[in-house]
Amino acid sequence: MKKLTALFLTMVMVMTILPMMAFAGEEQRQIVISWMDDRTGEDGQYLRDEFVIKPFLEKHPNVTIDWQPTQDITKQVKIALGAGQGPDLMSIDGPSDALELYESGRTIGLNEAVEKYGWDKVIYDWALDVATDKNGVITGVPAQYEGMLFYGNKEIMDAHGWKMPTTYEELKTLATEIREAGFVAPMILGTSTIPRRNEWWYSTLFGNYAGREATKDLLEGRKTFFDPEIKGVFTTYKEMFDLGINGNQDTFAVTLADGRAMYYSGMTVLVMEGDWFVDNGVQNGVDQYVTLPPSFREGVPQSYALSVGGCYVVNKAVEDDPEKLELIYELLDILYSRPDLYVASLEAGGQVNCIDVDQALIDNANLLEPVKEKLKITDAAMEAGNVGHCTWTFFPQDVRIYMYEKADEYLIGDLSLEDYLQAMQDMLDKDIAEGKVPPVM
Amino acid sequence: MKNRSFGSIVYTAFKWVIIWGLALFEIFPIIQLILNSFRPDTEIKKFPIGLPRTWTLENYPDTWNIGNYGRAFLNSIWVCFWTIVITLVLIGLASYALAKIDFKGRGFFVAYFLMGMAIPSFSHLIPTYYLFNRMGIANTHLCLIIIYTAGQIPFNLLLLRTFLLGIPRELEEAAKVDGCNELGTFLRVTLPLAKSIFLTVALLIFMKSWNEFAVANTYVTTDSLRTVSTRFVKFTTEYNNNFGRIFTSGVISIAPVVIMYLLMQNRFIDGLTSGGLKG
Amino acid sequence: MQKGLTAQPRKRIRWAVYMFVIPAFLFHFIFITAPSLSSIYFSFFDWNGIGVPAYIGAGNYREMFADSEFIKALTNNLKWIGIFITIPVFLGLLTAYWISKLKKTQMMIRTIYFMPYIIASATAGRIWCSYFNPYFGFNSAFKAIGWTGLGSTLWLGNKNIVLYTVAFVDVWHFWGFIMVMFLGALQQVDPTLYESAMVEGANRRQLFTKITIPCIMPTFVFIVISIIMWSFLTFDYIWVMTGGGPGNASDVLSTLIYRNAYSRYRTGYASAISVIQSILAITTYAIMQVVKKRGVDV
Repeated sequence: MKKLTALFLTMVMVMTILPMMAFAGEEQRQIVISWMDDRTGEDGQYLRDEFVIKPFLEKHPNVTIDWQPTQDITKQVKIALGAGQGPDLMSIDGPSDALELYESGRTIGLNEAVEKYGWDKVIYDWALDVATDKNGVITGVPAQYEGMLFYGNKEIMDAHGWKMPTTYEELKTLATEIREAGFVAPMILGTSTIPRRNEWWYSTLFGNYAGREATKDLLEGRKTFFDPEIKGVFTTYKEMFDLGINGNQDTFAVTLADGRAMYYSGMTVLVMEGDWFVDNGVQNGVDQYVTLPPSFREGVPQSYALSVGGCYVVNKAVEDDPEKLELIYELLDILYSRPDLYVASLEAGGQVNCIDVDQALIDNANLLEPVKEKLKITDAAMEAGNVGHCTWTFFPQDVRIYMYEKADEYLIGDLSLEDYLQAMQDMLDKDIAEGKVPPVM
Repeated sequence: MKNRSFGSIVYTAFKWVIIWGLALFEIFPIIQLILNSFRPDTEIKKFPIGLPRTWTLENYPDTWNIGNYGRAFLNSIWVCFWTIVITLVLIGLASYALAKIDFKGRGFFVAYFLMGMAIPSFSHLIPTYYLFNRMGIANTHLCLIIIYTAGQIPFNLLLLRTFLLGIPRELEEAAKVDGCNELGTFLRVTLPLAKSIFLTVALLIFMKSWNEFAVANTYVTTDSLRTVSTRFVKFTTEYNNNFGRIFTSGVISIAPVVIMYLLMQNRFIDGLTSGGLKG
Repeated sequence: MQKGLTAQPRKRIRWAVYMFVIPAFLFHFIFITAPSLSSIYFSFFDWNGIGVPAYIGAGNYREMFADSEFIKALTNNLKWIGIFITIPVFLGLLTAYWISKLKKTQMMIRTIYFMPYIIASATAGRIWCSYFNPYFGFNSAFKAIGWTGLGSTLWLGNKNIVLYTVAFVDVWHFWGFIMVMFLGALQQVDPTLYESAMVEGANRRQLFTKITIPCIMPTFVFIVISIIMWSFLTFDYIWVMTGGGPGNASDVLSTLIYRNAYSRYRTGYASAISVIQSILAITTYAIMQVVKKRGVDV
C-alpha cells in the first residue's frame, strides 16, 4: 500500500508539472482572431498557412490567428454558436448555411466590406447572388465553386474502344457493353453512410434533363414538380437505378471510399464526381477522361451543375470591435485581391475560387495537365451558359434534404413517385411564399 | 481430474474451440487495421482490404509528425489521469455508502444514478458547453476533465457498487469494533480488499476517456490542445482522405491502451487469486 | 446472498454518510442533469438551434407520434434491445466463466476480446463496411466457396437485413466489455465457497448454478439494466456504417436526433425526440424495478 501511495503521489506531481512546462513561454497576446475552418487535412493547413495566414501576419505581426481546423463544420459551428459566442471567422459549407446563420442573428451582413474592398468586382455575380438574402444583404463571401463531372478510366476505355457518353442513349449502350465485358457495374455511386450523394445525380439531372430554364421556373414557382420536365428528373433517375447503371441496389451497400476504390482498381469504368476528383485521379495514378455529364433529353445541352462550395461568415459579436473586424476583412481580402497568391495556391493543389482572374495568369500557371484540361471544359461551359444548378446551393434546404434523404426509399419503391413529388412541392410552395428560395442564376 | 469422462473431453474441446474461435473473430478486423498501417495510401484506396502488396513503414513517422501525436499524447494522458483520479474518489466514496450503509435516501440516489445513464449526450452537449463558456473554461483541458468525470460517474459508480455488495459486511463491522469510523473503514478495509475492482473500473474509465471523440472534438477547438482520439481528423478532408495514415493513427491511439492492459496483467490476476477475502 | 446490506440494518440518521454521496451526485447533477433539462424546455419550441425559438406547445410531440421515421426508429431500438440483452450477455458470461479459470493464457485472451472496444468506431466501421461490400470482402469469399446465396446478399444494402448487420458489428465491438465486467464480478466470488462445496462433493454444474450465479446476480441484473438503457441511446456504429440508411431502414432514435439537429436545422424537434428517448429508458427501468420487487431480489 505504501508503495502504491508513493507512486500515486509522484504521478500527481509529474502531472502537475507537465502542463506548466507545456504552457510556459506563451507570449502576451494582443488581438486574437479565431478562425474555425473546414480545411482539416495537412494539405489544407499548408494552403491556409502559406497563402493566407503568413502573408497576413507579415503585415500584422501583432495579431495572432487561432486557426481551428474542424471536421463536420456545419455541426460544430452550430454547437459553438449555440453554446456562446463562437469563433470570429468561420468557413462554412455554403451560402444556404450562411443565410441560416444570418437570419438567426449570429453573423453580420458583409455588404460594406464587399464594396470597400471591391470583392464584388472579382467574385462571380451568380455566386455573390446566392449568398445574398431577399433584402439584399450579403450574408457570406463565397469561397470555392464546384460542379459535377463525368470521369472515365482512360486505360480501360481505350482498350475497349469506348468513348465518354454524350447522351443518355450512349450512356445506356455503354453501360450494357461494360456489363457484357465483365465489369461488375458501369459505375457505382455508393450511398451507404452518405445518402447526400444522391443529390449529385439529381443536380446533374436538373441541369441535363430538365434544363436550366425549367429548373429556374420550378424554383420561381412557374413550374411544379409534376411538370414533365421536372418529373422526368425523378423517373429518369429511377430508370437508371433499375437498369443498374449506378450499380442498382448494390450501391446502398457501398461506401464512398469503397466505391472509389472500385473505380481506381478497375472494377468499374465510369464515375460521376465533382471537380475535386481530378486531383484524386492524379494522386492514385489513374489516367482519366473528364467530360461534362451526358445530355439526358433532346434539346438540353450537356451542362455543368454549379455550386458554391464554401462561404466565409463573420461572427456578430465582432461588430463591437471595429479594429478586429477590419483585421478580419483584411485577412479575407488576401483571398480575393491577391491573384498571385491564388494562382500559387492552385499550383499547390488548392480549390478553384469563385473569382475572376486574368486568364493569362491561369494559362501560364504551372498546373497539372488534367487540372488544366478540366478548367478548359468547365470554363467553356460557364462561358456558353451551359450551367446547371446544384441542389445544395440553389434549392431551399428542406426540399433538398428531403429529396436526397428519401431517394433510397423512392428508388426501391417504398415511397411512391406521387407522394415523393407532392411532399417536395408542398415544401417548395411554402418556401417560395416565405421568400426562402435563393436567387436563381 | 484423473478419470475424465468422454463428455468432459468433448466439453473441454468445445470450450477451447469457442474461446479461440471468438478470439479469431475479434482480432480479424484488427489485424486488417494493423496491416493497413503498413500499406501505402494509394494501395488502400484501390484495395481497402487484403494483404499488403507493398510494405511501407512511412505511415508511422508521417502520421506521428503531421498528427502532432507527441503533444496529443501529453494532452490525453493529462486529461485521462485527472478524470480517473477525480472519478475514482467521487465514486469510491459514493459507492461505498450506497453499498454498505443503510441511510435515508439511499434508494433515491441509486435510482438517480441509474436514470443518469439514460440521458443522451445530445441533450447536454450544447448547454454544458454554454455553462463552460460562462465559467470561462471553454476550450481548455479542464472542461474535458469535468465532462468526462461527470459522464463516467453514474455507470461506474453503480458498477462499483454491485461489486462492493459482494464483499462480506462482517469484515467492515470488525474494523468498526476496532474503533474506525466509516471513512477509516472504507480506506483500511474495503479499499485494500477491492483493489482489483478499483483497477478494473479505473481501466474502464481510462478507455472511455481515451477514446472519446464527439465531446473532445467539440469542446476543444485549438489544435495544440487536442487529444489523441481527435487527431485522425488531420488526415480527412472533404475531398480526399489519407487512409494509410488514418489506419496508422488507429494503431497509434490504441497501442498505449493495449500496452497498459498487458503491463497491469499481474495486478488483475492478483485480484483473482489472492483477493484477501479470507481475511 | 444477503451479505452486504440487509445483514445488519441500522436506520440511524448520520449526516456524515451524505458526505460520501453528495459530491458525486452534485458533480453529475450540475454538469449533466441540469443542463439536460433545457432540452425539455426547447422541445416545446420550433427552433433551429441558434436563432430565436418560437413556442409551439406540444407541436413537436404531436408531429413525432405521426412521424413514420420516428416509429421506425423506435422499433429498431426495441429490436436492438432484444439483440443486446441476449447475445452479448450470453457470450460475455460464458467466456468470463471459462477464462476466469485460465492462468497463463487468460491475459492474452482477455486483451484480444477487449480490443475491439478500444478501437475508434470510425476506423473499425470502415473496415467492416469493406468486409460487407457486395464485390469484395465476405461476399467474394462466400462466392469462392460456392455459397452464392450468401455471396449475393447485400448485407448493408438490403433494408431487411441492414439493422442486423450493424448489430452484428456492434456486438463484435461490445461484448468484450460485458465480459470484463463479468470477470470483475467473478473475481469477487469468495474462493472458500467453492472449496467447501467441493468438499461436499458438488459437481461443476452445481458449483456454477449454486455458487457462481447467485454471487454475480447483482452484476448480472445491473448489466442487463445498463444494456437496456444504452440500447435506447445507441448511435456510433449505426452512424458510421449506414447513417441510418438505406432509406431509414437502420435508423434509431439517436440517428434521427442527429440528423434533425445538425443537418435539418430542427433542434426543437430533436430535443423532443431526446426527451422521449430518456423517458422510454427511465420507464423501462421503473418497470424492471416493479418486476424485481415482485420476483428476483437483488
